[in-house]
Amino acid sequence: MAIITISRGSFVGGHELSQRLAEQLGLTCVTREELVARAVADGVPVEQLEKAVARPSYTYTDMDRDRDLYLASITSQLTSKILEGSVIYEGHTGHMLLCGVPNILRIMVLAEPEFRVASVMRRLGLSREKARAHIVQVDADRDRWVKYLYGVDWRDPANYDVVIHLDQMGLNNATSVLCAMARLPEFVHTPGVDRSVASIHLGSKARFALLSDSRTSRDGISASGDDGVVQVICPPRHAEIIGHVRDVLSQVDGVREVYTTIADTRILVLQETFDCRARRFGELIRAAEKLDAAVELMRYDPRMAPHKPEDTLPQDPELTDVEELEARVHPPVTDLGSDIDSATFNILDECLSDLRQHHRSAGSALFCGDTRMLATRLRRGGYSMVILGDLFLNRSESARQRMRDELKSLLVERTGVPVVDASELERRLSFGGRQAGRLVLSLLISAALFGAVFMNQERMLTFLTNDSSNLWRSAAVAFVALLTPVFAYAYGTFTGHLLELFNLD
Amino acid sequence: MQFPGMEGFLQIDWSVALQVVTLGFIGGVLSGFIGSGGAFFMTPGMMNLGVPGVIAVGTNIAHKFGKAIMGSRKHGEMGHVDKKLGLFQLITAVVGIRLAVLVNEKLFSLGGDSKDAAGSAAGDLYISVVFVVVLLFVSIFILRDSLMESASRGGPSRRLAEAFSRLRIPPMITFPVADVRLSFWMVSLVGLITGYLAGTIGVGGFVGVPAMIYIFGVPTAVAAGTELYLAIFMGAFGAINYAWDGFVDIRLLLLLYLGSLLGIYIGAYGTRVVREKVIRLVTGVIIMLCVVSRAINIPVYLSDLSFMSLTEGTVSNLGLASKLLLYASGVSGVVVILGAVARAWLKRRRALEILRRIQS
Repeated sequence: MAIITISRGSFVGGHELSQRLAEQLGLTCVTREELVARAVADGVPVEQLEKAVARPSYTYTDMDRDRDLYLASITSQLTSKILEGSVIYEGHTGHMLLCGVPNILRIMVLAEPEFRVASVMRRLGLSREKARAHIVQVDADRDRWVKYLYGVDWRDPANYDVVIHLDQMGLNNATSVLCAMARLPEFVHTPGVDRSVASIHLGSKARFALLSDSRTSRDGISASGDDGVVQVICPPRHAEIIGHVRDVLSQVDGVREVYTTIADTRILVLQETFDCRARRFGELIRAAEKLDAAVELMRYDPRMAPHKPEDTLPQDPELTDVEELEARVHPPVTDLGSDIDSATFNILDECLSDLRQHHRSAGSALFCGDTRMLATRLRRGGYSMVILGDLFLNRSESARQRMRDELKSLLVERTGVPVVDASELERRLSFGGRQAGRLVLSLLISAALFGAVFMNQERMLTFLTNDSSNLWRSAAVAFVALLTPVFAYAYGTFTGHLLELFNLD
Repeated sequence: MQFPGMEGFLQIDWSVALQVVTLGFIGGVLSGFIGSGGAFFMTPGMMNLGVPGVIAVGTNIAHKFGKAIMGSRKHGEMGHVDKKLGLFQLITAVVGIRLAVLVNEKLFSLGGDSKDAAGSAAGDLYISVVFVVVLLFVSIFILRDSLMESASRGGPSRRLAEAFSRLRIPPMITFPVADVRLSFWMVSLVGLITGYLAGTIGVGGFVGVPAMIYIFGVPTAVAAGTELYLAIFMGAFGAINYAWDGFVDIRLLLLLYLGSLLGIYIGAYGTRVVREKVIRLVTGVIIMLCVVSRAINIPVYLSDLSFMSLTEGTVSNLGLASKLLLYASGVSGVVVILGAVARAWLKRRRALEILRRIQS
């Protein structure tokens, strides 16, 4: 059966729809309100966080920690429910909590303003004007909340598989269509999905444990999990907590091993296959050491993306006969459990082991989803650099290059993070002939300008203070306006490269 | 000592050059660490060396111009610059700068043709008073902010932001990068004040950045990036205005760059390893000491203007005390920052040893 997330505007009838779907599909219905109530009971300051999100603050450090705690709590609860069986989640952009998990049916429910106003008037007993103002306020709060948590516009239909206008379609029709969709092979809950959800569950439990324990509760601490192994990243400023991490995580169910990396920042490497014996992998470790970064390896296989055109329905589907429909559509290709063989995981483990030996590991991840979801996941990841490795390997050379360029542009535009090709890594981060040339040239320019000014101090001051005519004054202004940025740029370039030479940049 | 035939311009020997480079270095470290321009240290530092206030401000604003070009490029690459918001503020910021330059020129001319320190007493007094009032407010605000945070975890009061957010005077303009919708008049007012302070004391960001965060609700990173973008134009406009009147000492400018562009890297590294609370505490204390250092000089300027009488010995002692306090604040600030960097490095080494032990 399926995993369904429903994102709804306020008072659009989303709750009735999710109840009806749960009933017809035999799913457990989980609401955001239930998860929030449990988070509050676990000590997450949800109300304080919601108030803070209403207006940005100069000191957001604690708010960010509270946000991480909140996300860890509700992610852990939701994934726990999914691991017990298929669920339908009703809340705000719940699929963002499961970013990278395949086969999720993401539904957005909307309704016309008049329909919503009538609902508010009926349910809250408000006048028309007050009902309208209430909806505007609730929507504005929801916009800010979703943007703060996930960095997305929840109204953007591109984030969903289907958008339902409930007031136009009606509850019965909407339920029928969505039930049929939920039974499609593309949305089947497979063992591969469970593995992906289990990883998210373990990581979120570990994060919650670390953030809610006073010994390890610090901003900037992150944790991910996979198959019982938890990888913790700790910024250097909180290095004193290292001794407590293992103690805290030993209390968490399902944790077999704990690895900790002290790193200032994180680099994400995105590619289809990894090989720790390749020359580029060595360059990657050197780059991580130079940048004091931890490296996360993300396997992104475009063949695994769930929305392939060839996976669409047959031409003459009998929508009412779901059994026949399922039999006629070819089996799903998006089951991570069957698609990736154990050799792939072994190679990934070897690479991780290599990174751990150098204390540079930030864990690994498998991502299944379209490039927009990938960009959203990356933006939330807090990476300082994304490295694109070998991707789109089943395409021709020219198509591969074009698709890589498109992906690179999309990621730069949507994440604001520098995206670098793996082949450029060494050239961009090492101190080679080009950098040495720039260092010498910028030094010569700086020294020449400096010498010219100080060897002609009297002439220079006379020139700059000569107020005999506007022409002289204009020349003095032009001189200052030109010399200042040129010297700053030349000398700034020199100091930058000098520090780079000594690995101090 | 004055440059022969050039009153108001210092004779630069090795000792003076070293002091100016040190000023630049300390200003750069503080700038990289705090995220401001560092002018709050460099302007009074140059004045203590005998540079008239107006030349110290003119040179500093030109210094800000070049430095902002470098800084803004980095912020721009990370998408932290709202150019539209910066350009709207710039409209009134240039008016503010021009106004500040006119006031400074007028006060400077009260000293007659003499451009030496005594002749510039009226201008120096005005610059010092504005410096003390504005930065006293800023330092109290920062110290209160960092100390209160430890008592309650809710962050600073948002009453100010909420009060201003109700002032929706049309025309309202949407700023897409900062993701806010603001009244044109509020943006213009903040631009005017930022420009006026940048033109008067060389310090505009201390007001512009908090104003964008508290009053406009702009995210902190975007506020800092937009302020640097604005600083390019404000710095350029200020430098042109001061250069037109011959108030930019290009020699001091180059010497400041020698120290500051190196110091910035060290300060910026410090922010990666020192906790944010410590950063704010150090910032508040350093600014407060700079304020006290400048306040000590106010009686000297009052004496020069014959509003009070001080003996030569007192004037000399006050000057020395001001200079010592300023250097003490800058040097101790840099020592604290470098110490924190060293401690963080040692802590990290110890943690790595623990990790190796645990994971082996």
